[in-house]
Amino acid sequence: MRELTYSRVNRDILQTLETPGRRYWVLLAFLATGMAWGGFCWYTQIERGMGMSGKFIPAAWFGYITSFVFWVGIAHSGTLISAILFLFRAKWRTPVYRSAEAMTVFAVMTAGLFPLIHLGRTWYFYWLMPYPNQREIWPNFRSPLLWDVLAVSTYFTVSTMFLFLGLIPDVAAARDRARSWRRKLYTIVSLGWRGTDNEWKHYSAAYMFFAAFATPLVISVHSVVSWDFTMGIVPGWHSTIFAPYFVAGAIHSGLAMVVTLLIPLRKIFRLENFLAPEHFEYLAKMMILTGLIVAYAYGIEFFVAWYAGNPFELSTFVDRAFGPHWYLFWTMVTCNCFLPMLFFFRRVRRNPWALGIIGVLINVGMWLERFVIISVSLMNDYLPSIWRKNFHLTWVEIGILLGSLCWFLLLFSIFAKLFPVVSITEVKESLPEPRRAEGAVPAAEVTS
Amino acid sequence: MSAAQANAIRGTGVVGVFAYVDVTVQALRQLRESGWDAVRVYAPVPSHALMEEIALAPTSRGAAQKRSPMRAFALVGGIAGTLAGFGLATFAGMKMHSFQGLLVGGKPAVAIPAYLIVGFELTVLIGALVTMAGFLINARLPKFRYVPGYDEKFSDDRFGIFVACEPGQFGEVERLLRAAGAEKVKVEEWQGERVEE
Repeated sequence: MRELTYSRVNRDILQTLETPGRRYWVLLAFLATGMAWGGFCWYTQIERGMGMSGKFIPAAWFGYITSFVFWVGIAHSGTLISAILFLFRAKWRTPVYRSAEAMTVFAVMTAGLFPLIHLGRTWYFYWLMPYPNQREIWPNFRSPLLWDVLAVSTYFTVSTMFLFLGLIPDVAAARDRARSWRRKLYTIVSLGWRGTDNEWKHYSAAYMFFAAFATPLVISVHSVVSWDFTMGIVPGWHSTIFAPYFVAGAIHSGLAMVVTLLIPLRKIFRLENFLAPEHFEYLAKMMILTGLIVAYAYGIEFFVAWYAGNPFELSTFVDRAFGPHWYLFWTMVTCNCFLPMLFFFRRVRRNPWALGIIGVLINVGMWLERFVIISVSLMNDYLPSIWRKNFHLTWVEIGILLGSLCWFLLLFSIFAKLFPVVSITEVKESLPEPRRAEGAVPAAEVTS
Repeated sequence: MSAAQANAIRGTGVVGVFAYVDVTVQALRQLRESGWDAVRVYAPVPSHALMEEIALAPTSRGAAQKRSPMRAFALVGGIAGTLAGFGLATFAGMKMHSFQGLLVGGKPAVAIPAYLIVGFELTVLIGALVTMAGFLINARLPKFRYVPGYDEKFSDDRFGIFVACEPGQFGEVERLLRAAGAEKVKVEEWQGERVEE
């Protein structure tokens, strides 16, 4: 990044907002079709009833809750990169954080759909809100489900504001170079930012406090999601390690998704100047760490099940690894624990294809992990007479999952063409300031 | 309100465009030494050198100007959130338990460990909302009207110093800015209400 100047940063990043070509519209049309198919599946479920989803008793929490936890997890690495690494002054986060943060917001939006889909009678979703009904009956604040509503809605609100705050100066830079409708849009979104000393002073302070608020928040959100399960006395759920285990798993899947999104983005938008192979290496190294934590959690779960001497717990875990659903368990272990260890090899870390493929496989593994924890545990309940040895995901469920993936990618694709996916301000801050003594700005670039 | 401050609002003054941070800092120092304090600086990045220099300038608000009051907003918002979270959960618990006689889940009306989570989430939510509001209030955003002295290069790679002054003083300020190393100097005269396109 040595040869970059402020002007070059503006030019290179803002060129990503140029009028898109036909391939972009084809991509959007494809994703919109996928989303519409998901919508049709949801409509079918509402029209014909919950039998269209694959859930059954005792596994009433099935694919949708799995997908909910999966998408909330995806969101987490965005906040880790934008807030936690900001507080730790990890400079390598600079070119990565904007897209990771946008990913956070869209992943939470996607996650938020699943409890609504899972509800069945979606139109009663407002019963989740903390206010009393006409008979003065209040929601139960001791319930983890209500904590979940509060945690996820707080997370969505705070990460949206954090993304927006970071965007303000960048959108102002885009506004000053845009014409027609884009200029109008950017004028509104930038709130008329001019980069005065007063604005920068409060901006820097506000940004720091947002990072400070977001840091404990991100850890709390997946902890609260994990308590949805641990508060129930279901074998395979009722464990104190769930909060750190879920947070590490969330970051693991989120990092994999960041890598999966950034590799094509870098290529399409010609961002090689900003996103160097080193940035992907850092992400891969973090995936080694989170992969190891997840592997440790899988192992310790089995140890605790054995050491606690609870036959129900032990039976669930033996069933998980060697029962009828052994293939789900071992696929998840391979994808989440063994594959990321390939990142110990520098050649793998620097190879975009290897990174992308392992990233996708980690996400497959993480979806399976949630499915194994949530649904497979429920299938092996206390009552052997209702144990289910087989299950199938219905076409409606699969359609909604794929539709949600399309909706997430659609939002991200629209964002990437409307707003800078790399932070102009922070990249400029990471460059040496232009000083006359050093002549950092070539004289030829001086314009009147 | 001094004449200079009135002019800053009306938008009469002179703006100098600079290519380098160190030259801008030097220019600010020279302006201050010549008695020109009512300045507004434009920058593409929050440069530390610039911010430190600006903080040295005496202002009508004195030393408080140096530090952003954002911390107060964050703290007050956070405390308000904690109280709101505990208050809401306690109120709902009491209402159900004590007044309606409904014992939910066999737990006390005020279940502190459970309400810690509600309190925490609202601390973050209201803390962040108030911080955002504090930012908008203090940075005086949104601001869609015309801002005197602004140049589109300031969001790119140039720094700017806008000095609010009377039309009679334009020549002196212009000379000062040029001598300090401005690559371009523009005069801004009050032209009535102007709205950004």
